[in-house]
Amino acid sequence: MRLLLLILFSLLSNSASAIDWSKIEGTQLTLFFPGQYSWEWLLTSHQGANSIKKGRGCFLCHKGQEKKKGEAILKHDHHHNAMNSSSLDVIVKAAYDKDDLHINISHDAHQSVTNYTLMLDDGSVRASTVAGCWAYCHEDQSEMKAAGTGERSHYLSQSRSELTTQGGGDSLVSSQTLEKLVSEKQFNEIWQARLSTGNKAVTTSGYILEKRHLVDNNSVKAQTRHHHGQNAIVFSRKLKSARKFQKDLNSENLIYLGLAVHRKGNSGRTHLVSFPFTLSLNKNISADVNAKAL
Amino acid sequence: MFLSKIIFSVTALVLIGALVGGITIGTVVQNTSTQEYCVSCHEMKALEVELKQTAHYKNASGVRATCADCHVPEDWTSKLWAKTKAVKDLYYHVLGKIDTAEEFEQHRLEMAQTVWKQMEKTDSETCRNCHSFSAMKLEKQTKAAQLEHKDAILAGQTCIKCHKGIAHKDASKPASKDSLKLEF
Repeated sequence: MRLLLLILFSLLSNSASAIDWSKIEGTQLTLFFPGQYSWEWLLTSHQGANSIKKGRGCFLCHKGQEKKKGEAILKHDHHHNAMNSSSLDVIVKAAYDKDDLHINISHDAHQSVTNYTLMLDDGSVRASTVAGCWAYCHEDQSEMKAAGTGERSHYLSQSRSELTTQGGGDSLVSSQTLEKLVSEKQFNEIWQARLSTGNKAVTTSGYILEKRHLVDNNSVKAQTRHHHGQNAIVFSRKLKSARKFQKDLNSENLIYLGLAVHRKGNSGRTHLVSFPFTLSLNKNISADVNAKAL
Repeated sequence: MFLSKIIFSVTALVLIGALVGGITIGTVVQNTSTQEYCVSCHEMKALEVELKQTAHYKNASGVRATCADCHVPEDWTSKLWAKTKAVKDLYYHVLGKIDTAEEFEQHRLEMAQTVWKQMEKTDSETCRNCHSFSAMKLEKQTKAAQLEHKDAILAGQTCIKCHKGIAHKDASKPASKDSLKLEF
């Protein structure tokens, strides 16, 4: 009996639901409506294009400007009637045990979110370290300014042989090169949770390289909870990569993250996104979010 | 006696000629350096419209740059050389090379590149008639501008390298694919 209790306790203590998140410090982020500003725009017309090219991330100049940026962008966007808010404040917390990383995202429960997407990189994709989600947001993908009639999802520049200011189009590198890029971790991992009726999270994960691949329904788990007027979702995944399209989550490297949410009734680019932020599993490495060791 | 009179007359004529010539050249240079003169050719009117939408025309400190401030150097040798070269503008005006807005757009990049090249060659001397790194209060600038200016000071970069298209529509847009490369 004692052994059974010990095993039960051990199982509970390793699961996201057993974590006392109130004891873990969080980082406030403001997600905002990004409009149709692409990777190509960021490197050409953006006033800080030179800074981005030199590896200086968005926060260096834009921290605290998210709310105003969202308002200004949405005001001039033809989607302005489809969205009831141009920004959303969230708190991000993280914790890890010997097996798993848990990322907790919470926000005001009145702000109904139906879809959470996290992008992760381990520093392999240079563009993601400075620009987060903008690294794979291109002029010619669906719903963007130079979109064609067909569907084109997110992609990373390295998957194209010819990148112009209008995007990389269909100039895909060879399948061998794509395989090599995957082996070199030159992709962004994504975790996604859709909330079904009753706020139960249905998760999927995958990666973005030449397109968005959502291929794995088992590796990433997510739990939702409602507490003190806050809605929270906790993503969990094994620290060690189990699939070829996963990144190792360790204490040696910073983890570069981007967060996007869709609110009720919104889809596609009518989302709210974060500037890129960093997460560390090492208390000696400063990051926007420092994960607590459990 | 007769010879000295001749020498005197010739000297006087040369001096008077030089004086009249100097005054004439000075007046011509001055009158052809006004904004009114520049936009008296219809080809330039669109550029004035663009200028009026920028901080070089209207700004918090009330300092205004006109065409000549950016396009005509201050020292006289360079100024006269610039004016001499500008005769080609009259030639193309007569030929009607950029007579219409469409023709102007066709040649905008080529004209802009000529100006950028000239500014690079002179280390953006016309910019530096008003702006200097030593007079900049970097902490008053945006974070991005602070960082870029610090880099520029260290690398000895010239203004026009980054500040293209700040008084007129940027002819370099859409940018080339080379501008999509990361440098880190």
